[in-house]
Order: sequence, then C-alpha cells, then structure tokens
Amino acid sequence: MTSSLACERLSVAFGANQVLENLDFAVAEGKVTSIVGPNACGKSTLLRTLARLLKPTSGTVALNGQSIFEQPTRQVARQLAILPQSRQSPAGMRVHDLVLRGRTPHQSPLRQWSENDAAIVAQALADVGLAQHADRLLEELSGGQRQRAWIAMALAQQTGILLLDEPTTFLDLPHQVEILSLLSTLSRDKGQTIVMVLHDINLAARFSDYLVALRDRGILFHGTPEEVVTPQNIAAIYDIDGVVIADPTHGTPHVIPR
Amino acid sequence: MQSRPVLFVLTLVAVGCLGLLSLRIGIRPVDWSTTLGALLAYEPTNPDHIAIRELRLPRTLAALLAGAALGLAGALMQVVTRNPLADPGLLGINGGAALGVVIAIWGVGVASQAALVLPALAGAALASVLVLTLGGAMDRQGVDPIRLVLAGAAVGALFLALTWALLMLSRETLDVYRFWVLGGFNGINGQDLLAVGPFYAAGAALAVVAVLALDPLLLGDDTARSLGVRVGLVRLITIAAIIGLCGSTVAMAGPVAFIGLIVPHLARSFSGADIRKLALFSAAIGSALALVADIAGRVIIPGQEIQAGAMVALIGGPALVLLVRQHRAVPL
Amino acid sequence: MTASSLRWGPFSLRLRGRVVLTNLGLCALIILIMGIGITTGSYPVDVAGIVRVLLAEGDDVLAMIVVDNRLPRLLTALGVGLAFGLAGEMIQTLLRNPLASPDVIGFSAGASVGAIATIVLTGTTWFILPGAVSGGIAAAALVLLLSWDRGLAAGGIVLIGIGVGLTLTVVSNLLMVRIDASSAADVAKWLVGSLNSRSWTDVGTVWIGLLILAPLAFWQQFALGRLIFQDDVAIGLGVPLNWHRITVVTIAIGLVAIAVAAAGPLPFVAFVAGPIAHGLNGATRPTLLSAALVGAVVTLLADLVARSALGGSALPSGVFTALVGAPVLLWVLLAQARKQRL
Repeated sequence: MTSSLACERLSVAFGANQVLENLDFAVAEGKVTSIVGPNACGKSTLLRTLARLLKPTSGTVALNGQSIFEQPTRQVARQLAILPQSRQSPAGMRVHDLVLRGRTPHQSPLRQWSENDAAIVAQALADVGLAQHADRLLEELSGGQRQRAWIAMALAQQTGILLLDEPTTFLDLPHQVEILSLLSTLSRDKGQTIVMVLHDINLAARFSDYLVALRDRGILFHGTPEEVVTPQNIAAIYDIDGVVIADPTHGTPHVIPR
Repeated sequence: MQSRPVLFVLTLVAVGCLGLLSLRIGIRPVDWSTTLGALLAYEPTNPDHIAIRELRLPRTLAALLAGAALGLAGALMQVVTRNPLADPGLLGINGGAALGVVIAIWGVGVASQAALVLPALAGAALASVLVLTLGGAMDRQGVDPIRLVLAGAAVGALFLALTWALLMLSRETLDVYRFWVLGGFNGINGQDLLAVGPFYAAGAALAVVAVLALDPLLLGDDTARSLGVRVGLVRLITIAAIIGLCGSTVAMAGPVAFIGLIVPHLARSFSGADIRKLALFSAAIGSALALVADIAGRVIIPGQEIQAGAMVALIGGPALVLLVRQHRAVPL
Repeated sequence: MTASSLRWGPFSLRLRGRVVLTNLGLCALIILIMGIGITTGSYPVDVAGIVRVLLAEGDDVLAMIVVDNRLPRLLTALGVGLAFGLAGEMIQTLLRNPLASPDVIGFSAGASVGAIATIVLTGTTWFILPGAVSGGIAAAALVLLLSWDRGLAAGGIVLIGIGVGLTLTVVSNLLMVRIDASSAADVAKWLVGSLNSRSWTDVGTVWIGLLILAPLAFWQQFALGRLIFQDDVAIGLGVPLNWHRITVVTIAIGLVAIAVAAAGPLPFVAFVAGPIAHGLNGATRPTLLSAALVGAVVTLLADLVARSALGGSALPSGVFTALVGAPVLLWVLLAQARKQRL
C-alpha cells in the first residue's frame, strides 16, 4: 500500500511573492517527517502543494512517479489524505458521519455503504480510540478528541500517505503529546507515511524520524532530528542562540534558547 | 499627507461646479449668465429665473443632500459592520422603505412626497434592524460578510413580496409605485426639502457623534471595551444615524442604491483609514456622484430622462461585479 | 442513531430511520392536502364522486371540474413544489449557506427583465412566459460566467449574483414605466407566480422536466454530501469540486426554469424547503428528497389558502408562499444566530 511522494524543482508564488523556489524533496516511505521553520517560511505552502491543494508556478509533485496534477483527483485521494489546518466541522455532524466520509474516494452514488466500508470505518474509529464516541456530536468533543475524529476520517480513506497541517494547534500540551504519539504509533505499527507541519521543534524532534527545515524559500536542512537539531543549525534556521541537550527521558535533541 | 486638505477643497470645488452645471442643464436651455443671475439677482418675472429657482435649485440641492447622506451612511455602515460590501441598498433599507411607502399610498391614500417621510423611515428602520440582527452584525465575534449580505437579500426579498402583494390589490398604488421605485430628484420642490430637512439634520447630528466615537471600534470590540468605550451604545447611535440618513433619502428621492457601496471605496483612496476624513470625503464624493448621475440621466437620451436612482444602479451594478473580481485574491 | 444498511449485490445505501420517517410523513401530508384540494371548492365533490370520475362513470360537469380544473392545478403545484424544493436545497448546499436561494444567482431578476422586455418589444402580453424563462437562464449563466475564476468559489457567486441581480432589477423597473398600466398589472401578477387555471400543458411541462432532471439531481446527492466541507477537505477526499459545482448549478437552473415556466416564480418555496427539511430530519447533510417533499407541501398549502375563502380570489398563490416562508426565514436566521453564540 506504500506510495511514493516527491517534488522536483518546485516553485510556488502568490502573485509577485515567491514563497518556494526550486525545491527538491522526497518523502521517506513509512516514516514520520516534520516540516519546521520560522513563521511565514512556506511550511504550509509546501504541504498544501504536496497535497495538490496549491498549483506550483514551476516544477512538479510526483505521486508514484506521475505528476499529481495530471492524475484524477479521486485516484490521488486513494493514495494520499490531507488534513488542512483550519477546519470548520459542519454543525450537527456526528463522529461516525465524519469518519464514513473518509470512504468517499472508494465509493460511488450507487455504492455508498458496503460491508467493507462499515468495517474500515469501525477500524479507523478503534485506531484513534473513539469507538465508544461514534454517536456523539463533533461539537460536544474535546479539542483532542475532535482532532482524533478528523484523523480517523483520513485513516478511513486508507491511503499510504497522510499529510497534516499543524495537527496540534489550539491543543494543550497533554493533547499535543496524545496526537503526536498516535501518529507515530500509526507509522510504526502500520507503515503509514506521515508528513506534517509542526511549530514546536522540540516536539517535532521527539516524534519524527526526519526533519525538514525551511528558510528563505528553500530547504535548509533535511535529516534525522539528531542531524538537524544542532546549535549551529538552530541559529541558521531561527536566528536564535541556543543550546541543544539530549531529552532526559527519550534521548532526542532538545533546544533551549539562551 | 500634506495634500489631503487640498484634495478635500478640490473635491468641494468639483461638487460646486457640478451643482452649477446641474442648474444650467435641462430641457429649457439657459446660458451661464442667466444661471448665475437667477442665483445672485433673482427676477421673479423672468421665466428662466423661475425655472432655475423653483425647479432646478431644489432638485440640485436634493441631489447634493441625498448623495452626501448616502455616501456618509455607506461609510458608517462599512465601518460598523467591518464589511467592505455593506450598503443601505444591499441591507434591505430600501426594501423596507418601499413597503412603508406602499402601505401609506394604499392604506391612507397619501400622495404628497412630504407625507411619505414617516412611513418610509419606519419601514427602513424595521428592515435594517431585522437585517443587522439576523445577519449577525450585532454578534460579538465579528461579522460574516456573506451571512450579512444574504440576510439583506432575504429580508429584502420578503419585503418585496409583501410590497407586490399590496400592489396586486390596487392598480392605482402600482401606478404610483412603479415610478417611485426608480428613484430620482426631478419634481422635488422646496416644500419637500423642508419636510425632510429635520430628519436629515437629526441623522447628520447622530452621524457626527458616531464618526467621533467609532474610531476605537476599528481595533475590535474587545480592545475598544478595554479602552473604556461603550461599544453597544456607539453601535446603536451609528445605526440610528444610518437609518435617519438613508430613510430620509428614500422618502425624498426613492430608492437610490449603490452610492453608499461605491463611494466609501473611492473616498478611502483619498482619505486613508481615518474615519473622520473618510466620512468627509465620502459625503463630498457622494454628492458629486449623485449630481453626475442626475445630470447624465438628463442628457444621455435627448428629450428623455433616466431617473438618477436607475442611472446610479446601472453604473453601480457592474462596478460591484468588478470590485468582487478584483478582490478575488483576498478571500471574501 | 438508528441507521440501517440497504445492500443488494454491488449496490449499497445507508438509510437513517428518522429521514425515512420524515419522508413517509411528508408523503402522507401531500396526499392529505391533495385530497382536500380535489374534494373542496365552490363545488364540493365527495370521494365517491372522484372514484366515479376516475372510472369514467361520472357526469360531465363533475368530470370537467375534477379532470380539467382541479387535477391539473394540483399536479402542477405538486411538480413545481418538488422542483423548487430540489433546486433550493442544491443551491444552499453548494453555497454552504442556508440563506441562499436560486434568486441569489440572478434567476428571478433576469426572468422579470425577460418578461417585461417581451411586452415592450411586441406590445402584447402573450410572450411573457418564454421571455421570462430565457431571461432567467441568461441571467444565471451570466452570473456563473462572471464568477468563474479558475473555478467556482461560493463567495464569488453570491456577491456577483447580487450585483447582477440588482442591476437587472433596475432594468426591469425602467422597462416597467415604459408599458401601460394594465400590462404592468399583468406583469406584476405574473412576477408573483400563480397556480390559477393551470392546464394539462403546464402539468406536462413540469413533470417531463422533473422526470429528466430529478434523477440527475439525486445522482449528485452523494457529491453534495461532501461539498458541505470546506474546499480543502473536499478536494482531499477526491471530490472534483468544479465539475460538481457546474453540474449542480446547471441542474438547479433547469429545475427552476421548468417550475417558473409552469407557475411563475413563487417566491420563498426554494428558499424555505431546505431549512425546514433539515429541521425535521435533525441532520445537516443534504436531504434532497425531504427538501423536495417540503417544497411540495408548502406550495400545495399556499395554493389551498389562495383558493379558500381566506385568500379571496384576488391574490395569487405566490403571495401566500411568501407569507408561509416569512416566519420560517426568521426562525432559520435566529437559530443560526443562536448557534454562533454558543
């Protein structure tokens, strides 16, 4: 079920504002990759272009070797799921209703609810630990539960690749850790490829296999957390002076601004 | 920055010139000396002078007043709803006033312009309160422009349906209504001006208070509150000013849409974000636009008149479409 | 949640208990109102009389009243209501706003310009109908064309629709003073919409149109259920947005056109059908069938009032659809405001 996702000489601009320029990047299959960098460095733009939500000015995104913009959107949706950053959940929608819509690319007006669909939706709900909340309204859930419901929808899509734009915004620390642990478990146990935009470099370092650091319209560093998070690199990415220590419990690199 | 007072004076000069032009142009041809003579050395026996004094002067004053009121009201409304597309016409005020007018013509048999002021004002007030409340303009979280505009369209459609129901019952009312609905300044006399004068004065006074108090609201309700501003009261005064200004105009000249929508956008490029300057420029440019529409309606088809209200909408509708297409980069 | 699955070979559907109940209830209501409509009036006919007519055993007067008079009127009202209900729900779902209606895309304004223009051009009131239908379609097409910007965005359609609509309204106002008072009264009556003296031709117009367009509409329901999300999510689910937007708008315009051709604009039917259906279903997902049935109930009810002593005979049904619609409009807006305040 694995699919490969890569971009070549990718440039994206909004009007005269060049956001990304000549960017090359291949997503590691079955691993968790986090895109980090200062505000307005084009993190979300890169993710949204990888998900075909934005059209590049030049260069291309290849899904399984073929341009993502030339494949039918439905075919793409069977291989790649995207959770955008801000989502208004339609009022009055229940968790189960939301998750079953993840089956859309596998359904048709005549085949709207097969036994297979029902089984996959139930499995997705179980994977995110919401099986007992299936009948609740989305607006009744806590922020962390609601985020898990949306992740379940993306899981029900049964794609090898899952893209998430800042999945932890507006969540408190325990919920941030809860969501990120869930994602890294999904990757480890099911071989799910995950690419996400994260603000917090320390959480990114702890839960990701690879980090991509963006700055000035391009990729500055790309590697394992240990390779990317060094005092010199942090200074280059964020213009701050910091020390990097090993996380006392997990051993991952941890930045402390001076 | 330095040039703003100069710009404002230039705008006023342009309005003055348009006013003089509006006195001169018409079915009865007069030259400039007669036009000026009628103003400065009035001869009550000269038919040219009578035409200018009794017909064209009130008409010109009406256009000046209506344009200024609509421009000012549009600016206030766009600020108070934080919505670049707010306009008294879009927000159902005209529809409400029309219903009031039709009820007055049908039920009481009112025929004179002056007596239509109160029913038009009452209808306008009812419609605008409905639209603003239902459209979420009074909500704390700020305004969803689409919801507000749709509420305006929906309430407008409802009032229109009720208006048509009444028109269906009486052919005489329909006959008066179909001319009134075009909106225009011809046929307005000195007495009509005197009748709506007090309402304009009240609206203008409220508008001055609103303009002085609205500035902190630009930063958001919470910030304004923390600065000690009574947000609800300021909103109330502003809306009362808008209803007074627009209601009087509809009562005097019929529904004139779009001036309130376009003028603040033109004014903003001269005035910047300062509300006081925006209000002054909006009023001046509104007057100019109303005069242009009125004059253009007189000359565009020789021997026939297109009412100023219709003229404005014929220019304004396409302008709105352009505005939306240009703002496309910004999600509306 | 009482949902059950309907599976047959490769086909499968998910049915919700409450939606099924609502639809059955609405069908019963429609049959009841039509029953009242066909038996009552200035010449009451009992059920036995109806049966005799249907078996071709009744007398000629009875047959004339039932077959030539009441039946076409009721069947037109039913079809027009279904069409408006479907079109309204489709447009509201597409624009993600319960306040939108086909008026928003400029149809009615274009229809009135078209109707009056035929009088100005030909001097007679004979061509109001084709003029209105083509004017409405042209205006809606213009709005879509102007809103097109590498795709159709919901916000753009609404605002451009309002700009075009207001301009066309002024054009029709200008044309209105160019015609004489009695033609003006005819136009006014037509612009409100009437179900008076419908013929079997009207029944044919609306029902043949429905037979073609309604299946296409129901085919789009699956996509509409995904268009309730914002664009990014819908694209992520593999829904080709622009294709569905164009298809849905085209079907909706077609439905409005056949309904207007049969009975005039009948304000508010398209607008209120969706919100009432959602209230009854307790669901937010698009429910085309319920909306269509609600549209039929509202239209039939308004027509019943218009025919009864309450309406006299002076006022056309369109006035009453607006009066049925008004309270619902207020209810929807207030409910929306309350939800935002939570």
